[in-house]
Amino acid sequence: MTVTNRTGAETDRRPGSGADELVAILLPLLDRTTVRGVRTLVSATVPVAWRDPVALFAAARAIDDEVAIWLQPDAGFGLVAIGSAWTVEATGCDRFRQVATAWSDLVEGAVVQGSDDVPGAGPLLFGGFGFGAEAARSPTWAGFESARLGLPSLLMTVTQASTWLTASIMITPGAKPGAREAVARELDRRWARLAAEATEPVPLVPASAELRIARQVPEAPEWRATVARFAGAVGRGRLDKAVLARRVDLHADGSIDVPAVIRRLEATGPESTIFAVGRGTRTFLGATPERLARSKGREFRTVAMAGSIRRGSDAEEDERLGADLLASEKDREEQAVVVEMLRETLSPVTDRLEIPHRPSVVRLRHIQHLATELRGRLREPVGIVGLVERLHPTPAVGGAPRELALELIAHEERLERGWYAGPVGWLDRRGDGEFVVAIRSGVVDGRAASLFAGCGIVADSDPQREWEESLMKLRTLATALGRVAS
Amino acid sequence: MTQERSRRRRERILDAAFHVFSGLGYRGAAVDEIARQAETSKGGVYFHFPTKESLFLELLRTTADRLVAKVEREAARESDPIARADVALWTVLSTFAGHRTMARLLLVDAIGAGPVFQAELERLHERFAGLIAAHLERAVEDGIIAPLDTATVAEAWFGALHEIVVRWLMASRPDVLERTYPTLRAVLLRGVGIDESRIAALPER
Repeated sequence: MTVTNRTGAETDRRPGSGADELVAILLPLLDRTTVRGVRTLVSATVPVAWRDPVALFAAARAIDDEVAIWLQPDAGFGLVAIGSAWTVEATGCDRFRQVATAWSDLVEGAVVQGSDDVPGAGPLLFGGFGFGAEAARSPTWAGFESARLGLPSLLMTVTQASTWLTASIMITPGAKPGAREAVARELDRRWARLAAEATEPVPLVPASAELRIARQVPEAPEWRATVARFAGAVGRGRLDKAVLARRVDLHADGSIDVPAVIRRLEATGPESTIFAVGRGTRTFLGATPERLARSKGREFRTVAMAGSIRRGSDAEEDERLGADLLASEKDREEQAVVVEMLRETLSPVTDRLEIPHRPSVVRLRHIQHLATELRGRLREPVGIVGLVERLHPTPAVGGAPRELALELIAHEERLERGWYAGPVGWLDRRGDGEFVVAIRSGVVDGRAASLFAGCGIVADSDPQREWEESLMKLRTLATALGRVAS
Repeated sequence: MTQERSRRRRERILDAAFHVFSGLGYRGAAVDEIARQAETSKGGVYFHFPTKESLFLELLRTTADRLVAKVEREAARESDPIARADVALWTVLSTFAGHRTMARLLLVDAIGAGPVFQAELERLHERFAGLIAAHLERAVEDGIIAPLDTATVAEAWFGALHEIVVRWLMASRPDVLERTYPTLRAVLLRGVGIDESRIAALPER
């Protein structure tokens, strides 16, 4: 059977196609490998028939506790990370370095075969970091440590031109060759089963769930008072900007269908990065317009995104609102603060940094933003995690100056951000990859969902307007979940 | 720990007060409203600030101090006295441009709020004029400009800057404040006899 996928290529859709080849490559690799140290990673990548990433996510989520997905529809790029051959967890200020070191130690002695010159194919680490350095305590964030990334046992990589499957196995000294073979065959069976289940794409259906607001953290009057104080703190010259977030807990009339939600996010935000990280019954997911950084070797890109306005009801109003946004002193100031911070942070570690003079307007489904795209070349090859460590948290989610803004957020926000506004992404065995800022996001668990949104507060911020802006930002995920009763 | 908490509560009251004063003006602002936005009781506010006047005065002082410190910090990065004067003027103008509420509070609301504030404004005025005069004196010493009455020139410079900012604050549809800067700078520097070539060599703002 052949069908046409979204890139227009004819692809073979026989269940399990490609997997035989995988075992054929893995078995001799496993036989040959002598384990150095405590364990060795063996990984193989083969081309496979295209599967709808969302359908594969759905099939895997039904049987596995740890499944993640990453979709960039406009770029035709997607990852589905299934299971975990190895994970790294860390807390504290040193967490980025701990992750980078553990990963480079692991891949140094790895035995890797296959087309891992394709971006996002081959053994890679997928996961995220919490907004703060310390682990969140609330049950909402159980399983989402302040740094947790995993090497998936099976990884499907979809690019515009091709689809790849990577299988990764950890072997330890003394394990019998038969045991190694059993692991390979088990992975093969798992893939065959998932591929067979994921033959039909998850359909795009309108969200029909009825949702009611169970709780807001903090409640509106308290949140508005905090906005006022943050604006006052900026007005007094204590700081340039601080981001204040809030949480809305929703309760659905039935169990929330996560794959259907992902499909809707993909359809409504093709220019965004759609991500979902499943841990047990919980899934942290969202559709973020904000790329933190992407690196390849020493070359990298990042974007300053701050300042927003609503979408118009027609093209003309859209244009007018976009022009208003570009002319708005408050928004241009918010934007300038972010660009300045990026310049200060990146200048010492780059030998080239290109910054456009003016921001442009980026239009999303419910909102328009000011954005400035920066490109540069790193002096030292610190990899994507080294870059993320420097950039997080950007003033777009933290504030400026960073330390004072974070102190104010910690004491006044009365919220555990967990992974909200933290870096989520992936890195390959060369340390290259991409991370986004996990905003327009929330945690779904059965019938319950906790949604997060934040607003950048400057001196002229008005508490009521910021409240409305936060509603606009919450809408991205809320409308993908269902209809919220007012 | 308790001291830290008390300091934080005090800052919280000042932050809330700034927002309330800048929205309603000194006379319109009520301590009840400040307490509500600081999420504390009226008694909590009075514990730190016995009167509305003392609260407003503290805001004026700390905000002005911060602005003066910022101007000094920025100016200290330059070694040439003309470049320093340029940076100092630019910092004041661009800070006000980015902090309209702060500018209104310092330059408009405080006038007529009472004699105590008048005295505080005088002090701020003197500090800025003093800063400018010091740069001008250095320029005279270094032979960059001919000897002149630096105190009077500094008053005139501050007056010009002040007037431009106040006009901008009063405008119903304000233009971008920073746009006035190149013209203002050229006029002020020409007035003390700086060469056109030197003015042209200053960084673009």
